[in-house]
Amino acid sequence: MNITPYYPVPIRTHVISAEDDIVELAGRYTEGVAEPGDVIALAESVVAITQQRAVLPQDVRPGLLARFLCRFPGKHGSLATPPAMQLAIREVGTIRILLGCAAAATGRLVGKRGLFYRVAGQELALIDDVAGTMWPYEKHIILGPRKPDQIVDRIRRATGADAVIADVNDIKCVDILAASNPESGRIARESLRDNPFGNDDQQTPIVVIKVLAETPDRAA
Amino acid sequence: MTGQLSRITNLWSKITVHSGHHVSRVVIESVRPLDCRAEETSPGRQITLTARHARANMDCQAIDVYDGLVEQVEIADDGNDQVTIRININHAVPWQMKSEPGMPGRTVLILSRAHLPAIFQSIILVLDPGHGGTDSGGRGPVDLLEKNVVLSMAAALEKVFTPLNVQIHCTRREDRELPVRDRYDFASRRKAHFYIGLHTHHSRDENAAGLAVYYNPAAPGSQLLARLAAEELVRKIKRPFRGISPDRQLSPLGGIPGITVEPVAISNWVEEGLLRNPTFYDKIALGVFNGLRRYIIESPYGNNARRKQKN
Ligand SMILES: [Zn+2]
Repeated sequence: MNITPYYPVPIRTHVISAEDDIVELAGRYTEGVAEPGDVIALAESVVAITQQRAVLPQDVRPGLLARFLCRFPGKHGSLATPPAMQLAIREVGTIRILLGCAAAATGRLVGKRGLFYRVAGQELALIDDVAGTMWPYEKHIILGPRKPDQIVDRIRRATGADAVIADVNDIKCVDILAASNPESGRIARESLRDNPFGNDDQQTPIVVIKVLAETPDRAA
Repeated sequence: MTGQLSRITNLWSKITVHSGHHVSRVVIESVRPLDCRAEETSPGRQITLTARHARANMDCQAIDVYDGLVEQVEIADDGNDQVTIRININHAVPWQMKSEPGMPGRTVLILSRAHLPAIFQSIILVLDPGHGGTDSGGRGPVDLLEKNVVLSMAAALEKVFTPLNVQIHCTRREDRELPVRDRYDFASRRKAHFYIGLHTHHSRDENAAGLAVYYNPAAPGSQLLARLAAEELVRKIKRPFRGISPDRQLSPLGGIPGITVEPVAISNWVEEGLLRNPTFYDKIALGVFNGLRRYIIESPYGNNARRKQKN
């Protein structure tokens, strides 16, 4: 059985859109499930979608620079398409992108990876290029969320439970963008490894991590 | 008191193996165990679960399953702390309900898929992944090649059909060149009941997208097979529909009902992205499987194929 006292409970939501308010959503879907001491985890991409940060590639006009630079990142990573690269340029400016590319080129010579994002901006690593996930947003490029710290604080005040915004990828890598306290960040990092947010049509971008003192059979 | 209510948080469905048999498992997750009753409200069509002292925290939109047995699952919060879950099925099958304690607790409906192998028994199916070797076929704007993605489609189809006692023959399983003529000869030599060619669309127009199915005009029934496969594929992969049309190139198949499936356009940004997702291939495979299942059950030609086998 589970050796930690943390139990992720994924909650199936409607298809979240820019019309939704993420704090209101978190409160409504976790009502009667999340209690003080539990952690409400939100998928980073869904927070971004409510902030109107999902962009259709056909709405982006990639410039020559974007068309040229998108050939360099790892093909399966983000920024591999001209529109995604164009959005990265829009987010941090041409100069930081070029500095990032210079750093990456230097890094390649000395065998160091990850310098592009370190120089151009870690927030660019959160751009999800059209990746075939999460209908109907599989058509979109999704930028990283804005002001994640404020959002987790507002959710904590609204629900009484702690909150985190997290990015979980398919190689069991959990990235906590914001946590209402350091302990909830640690709990989330430990409990989200198997990606209870799911992908595709599982549609569970909100996960309540129940923190239980007893095994659930008795607790229930 | 609301504190005592079971809260339904999630609902999903999966094909799994249960005591050596293939089953569809419909899983309802809740915080606090569900006080639940199940009955077959419409024999062979609908099973209804009624949960008392419960509320649905999850979204109550119907969930599309279309796994060949379970079609859709509907969930409704009736107010008065009662939740109704309706499981729509397409065949009368044995089923049972189980509860699995835990956090979240699970109420599981297990439905037997044992009738499916009987439908497909002794069917010989030729899968033909297009292109190969120096012929890459279409090319995605980032890096995917048609000759490779069609092999993944064939593998997903094989995974779906093999447990159903279907005899599968693939024209190629590796990256090698294969003349078109050889592919049809292969199908004839194997005495295929059905031929399914696997391709993607590709176009200079990067906006071209969606599903098309072509059929062998020389075989009666091919058109119907194409229509059913297309209908079921659209349900599963939810892509725009580019239509069905006869393809003279398939005529050398003669009387073998044959279709060529192009689920997406690899030259489209979005659809190349979809082809990076392993579960997308499972959806394609289930769509084709559903189309073929309906063809065998519903069409006179399908019944012929079966009868021919039995004699
Ligand atoms: Zn082709």
